[in-house]
Amino acid sequence: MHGTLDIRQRPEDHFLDAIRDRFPVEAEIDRTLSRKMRLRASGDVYAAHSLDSLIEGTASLIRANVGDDFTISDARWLTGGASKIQVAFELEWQDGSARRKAPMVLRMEPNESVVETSRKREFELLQALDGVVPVPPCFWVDPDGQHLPHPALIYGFAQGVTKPSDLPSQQVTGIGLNYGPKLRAPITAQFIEHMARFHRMGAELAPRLPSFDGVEVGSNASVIRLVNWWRRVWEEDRAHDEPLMTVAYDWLIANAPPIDHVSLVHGDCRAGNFLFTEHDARITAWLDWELALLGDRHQDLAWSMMDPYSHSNEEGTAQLINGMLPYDDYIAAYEKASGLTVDPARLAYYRVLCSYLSVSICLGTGYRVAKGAKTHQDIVVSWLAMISYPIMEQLRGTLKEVL
Amino acid sequence: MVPDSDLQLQVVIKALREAVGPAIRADEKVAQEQLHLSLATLGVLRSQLPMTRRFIRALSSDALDLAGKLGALTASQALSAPREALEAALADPSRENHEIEAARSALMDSTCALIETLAPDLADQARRVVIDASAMPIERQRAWFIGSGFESAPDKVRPIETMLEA
Repeated sequence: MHGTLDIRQRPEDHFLDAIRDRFPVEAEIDRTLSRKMRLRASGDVYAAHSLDSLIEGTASLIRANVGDDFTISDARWLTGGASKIQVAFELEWQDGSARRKAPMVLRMEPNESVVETSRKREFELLQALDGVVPVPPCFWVDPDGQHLPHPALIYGFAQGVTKPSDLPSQQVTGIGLNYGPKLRAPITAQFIEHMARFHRMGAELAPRLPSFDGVEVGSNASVIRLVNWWRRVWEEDRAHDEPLMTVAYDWLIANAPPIDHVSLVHGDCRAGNFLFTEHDARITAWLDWELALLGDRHQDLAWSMMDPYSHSNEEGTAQLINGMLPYDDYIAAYEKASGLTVDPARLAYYRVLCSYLSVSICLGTGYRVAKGAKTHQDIVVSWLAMISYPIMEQLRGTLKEVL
Repeated sequence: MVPDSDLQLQVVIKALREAVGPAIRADEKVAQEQLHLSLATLGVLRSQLPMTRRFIRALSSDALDLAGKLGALTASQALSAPREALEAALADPSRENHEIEAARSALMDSTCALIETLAPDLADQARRVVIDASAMPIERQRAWFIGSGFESAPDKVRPIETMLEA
C-alpha cells in the first residue's frame, strides 16, 4: 500500500490478541501462528543464508543428538515446493554400534512461509507414519530454531521424482501435473491405496501425535477449529477483505458436519506431493505433511479433486480427477480401497472448505509474504497468488450449489 | 515518451533471456526456477500494463455494484461513506491508481463488516447477492491473470480485452 497504515504488516499485540480470541484453533497451531505474527512485528525481512551457515547449524543439531562423531559432505541447495528452505547433504555418523552413511535433507522455515506450520507436528507425524505408507525417514528436529536460524528438521533423502522427467510443463508445485498414459494407472492405484490406509488409521495413530488436538466422533468441534485456523490466517495476512470469503466462513461454521470416522488427513493430498521411481512406477515417499491433522477423510478427497489438479484424458473425452481417474471411478476406487463411504454432502462441504483455505493461503499469505519480502521464494509465492481466482470461482460455484 | 514502459520491459526480458539465463549453470536449480518465473512475471505484467487503469476501474465498478445491492437489501447506511469515497476517487482524473485501489479496499472491508452484522433472514439473502455479484469480478481477475497458466480450461474464460469494454 502507498503510504497507508497496514496493521498486518507490523502487527501489534492487541491486533493478534483480538484475532486469537475470536478464532480459537489447535494449541500447536496457535503457538505457530502467534510466533509468526510476533516475528513479523519485528519487521525483519528474509536475508539469504549462506550454505556454510546452514551446515553449521545443521551440525549443531546433529551434534546435540548423536555427539561429535559424524561428518557432513556434498551440501547443496534443493529446489521444489514453495514454502521451505531445503539443503541436501551426505551424512556419515555413528548410530549406536553401527557406522551409517546416508543422503539427508535439511528442511527449514524462512522468516515467514506461504503456509506457516509446525516442524514439531511434522516430525511427530513422519515418525508415526514409518511403516504405514512410504515417507522419508525423519531423524532430528529443531522445533524452536535453537540450532538453526528458524525451526527445522532433518530427514533422509528419498529417491524419486515428483513428475515425469520428460514432462514439458514448468508450472510451480505440480499443479496440472500429467503422468501420461503409461505411468497413470500404477501411480493411481498406489496413491488411492496409501490414502485409504492413512485415512483408516487416524484413531490408531492419534496417541503418537501429542502435538495434535484430539478429534471426537460425533462432534464438529474439530471441524470448527479447522475453519477458524484458515479464517485466522486470512485475518492475519490478507490485503483487503473479500465478501465471498465472509459468506463462505459463515456457511462453513453454520454447516460444520460432525466427524463420523477419525482419519489422518494429509492436508495437501494430490498429485505432485509424492516421489516415485520412473523405471518401476513405484511411490517411494509421500511428501509435504505440514498441513496434516486428525479429521475427516473428505478433506483430502475434496482437496485432491480441486479443479487445478485435474486435466483432460488423451482422447479429450473425460476430465481426470487429480490427473488420475474420471470422477465416478475415482470415488469408487477410494471406497473399495478404504472400506469407507464417500458422502456427497460432506464432499461438497469440504470442497467449500478446501477452496476457502486455498484462497486464504494463496491470496492472503501469498500476498503478505511477498509484500514483506519474507522468503527465499517471494517470486514463487507471488506467482501462486494468481491461482486464487480460479479457486475463488470454484468456491463461488460450490457455494451456489449448496446454499 | 522514449523509452516507454513497454520498451523498458521488452529490453529487460531480452537481457534476462539472452544474457543472464545462459550464464546460469544448469545445476543451479533455484536460480533457474526463479529466472523462469521472473521472465514469466514480466511477460504477464507487460501484457497487463496498458490496461491497468481500466481494470482497476472495472473492479471498482463491481465493488460499487455489490455495495449498492446490499445497501438496497439491508436499508443500511454503513456503506454510504466508503461508496462515496470510491465514487469520488473514480471521478477525479488526478487520483493515482493506488488511491482508487485504497478506496476500493475500504469499501470491500466495509461490505464484509456489514455482512457479518446481518440478522439471519437478511444474511441468507445477502449471501445469494454476494455469490451472484462476485461472478463478474472473479471472471475479470481470472482473465487478467490468464497468463499464469493456472486455468484448467482457459478457453472458457473470456479475453480480458472484451471484459473491459465500456
